Amino acid sequence: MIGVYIAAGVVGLLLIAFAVSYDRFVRQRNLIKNSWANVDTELRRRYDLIPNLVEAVKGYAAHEKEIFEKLAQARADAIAQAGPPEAQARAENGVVSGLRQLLAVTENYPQLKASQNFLSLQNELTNTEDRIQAARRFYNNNVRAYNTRVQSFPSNAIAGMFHFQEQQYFEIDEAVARAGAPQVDLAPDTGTP
Amino acid sequence: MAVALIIVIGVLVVGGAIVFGYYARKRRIQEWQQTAGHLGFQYSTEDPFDLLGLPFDLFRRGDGRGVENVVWGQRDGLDIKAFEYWYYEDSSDAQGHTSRDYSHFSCTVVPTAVSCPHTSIAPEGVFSRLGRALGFHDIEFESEEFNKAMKVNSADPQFATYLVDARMMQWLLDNKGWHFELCGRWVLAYGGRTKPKLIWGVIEAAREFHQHIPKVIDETYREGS
Repeated sequence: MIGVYIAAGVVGLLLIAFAVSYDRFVRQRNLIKNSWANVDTELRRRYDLIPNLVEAVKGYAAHEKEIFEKLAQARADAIAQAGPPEAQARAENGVVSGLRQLLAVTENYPQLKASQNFLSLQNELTNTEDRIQAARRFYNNNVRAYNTRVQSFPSNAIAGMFHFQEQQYFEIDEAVARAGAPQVDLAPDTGTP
Repeated sequence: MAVALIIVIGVLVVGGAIVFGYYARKRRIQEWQQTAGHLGFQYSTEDPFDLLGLPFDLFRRGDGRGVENVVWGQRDGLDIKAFEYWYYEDSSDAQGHTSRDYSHFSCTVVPTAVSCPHTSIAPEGVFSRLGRALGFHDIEFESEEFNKAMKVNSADPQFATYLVDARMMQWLLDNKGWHFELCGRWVLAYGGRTKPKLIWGVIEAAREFHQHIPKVIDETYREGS
């Protein structure tokens, strides 16, 4: 009789472990979805910024038409992209390449570089790049934790049983060189505890 | 005769210990006053700020706790409060003998511009390494070197990921040994108790940590953003 109780106890414990592991997979998958939505939001901030940036540069370098068209096309391709993170990353790298060319062109126009409107847009672009990179890191960290469980024993058994598949990382370049980024200025409050 | 001698020796030992304790404390207070003077800070033997009221885990440890030797002032526009903190834990053995173990720390508190979810960053210890080996992970980052060296926990993993960017990660790896806690609008840096004249170490750790907080934290976690 004791043997039956022990067997029932072991089976009960296994069922609890099984349920906990399954629930954790579901939570991790939802977290990945949410963190991808954050990445998407930040990428859209950058898409919204590009037309203004192009307009600002056009005012001083209207003949750089090829660069503007290439960037506009890359932006349109990235917005239209609804595929997995790897495909999105390829499309984003097209945008990044276009932005780099645009920013390189501005080096030839000192008046443009001194323009308040352009400086403000460039600053906004730097901030957006920071936000994209932060959102990307969070997404990739969640994917790493999830993929580790999909690959590791014993959670891989549950992953296989319920088709929890490995997720793709999201790797993109930065359009703005960090050396040129504005200095961090986190002004402190001066209150007392 | 022998009993009287033992009593005299006992009185001398106890009296000597009291006198030694008194002068040691007096000398330590003088050292603190000198350190505060060198830093251009103010000094108090007791806590004028109710620092134990700040919501840090360190200030919840033990069965009793206290703050003493507080110095405060500004560096580069940043409000700094450095102090000594201690707590004790009571324990008793099978025979009913009780004992009290004290732990002492040198700490610095600085304010932040944003309200932070509770987050702690500390060097990996023996138990956390064992936990990692058994599959109990804290928040993991892109750098395996960092994951092995430091343990990070947060009520909001996204906040921790935004906080520990590549620049912060490198700074933490270059300055191992300090513990950090963020909660509400405060950052706490602490380590084992140092001599008063070495308090500058933990003050610099807090100040530099604050400087390395990424701008994206300010943008994302400022109220209303």
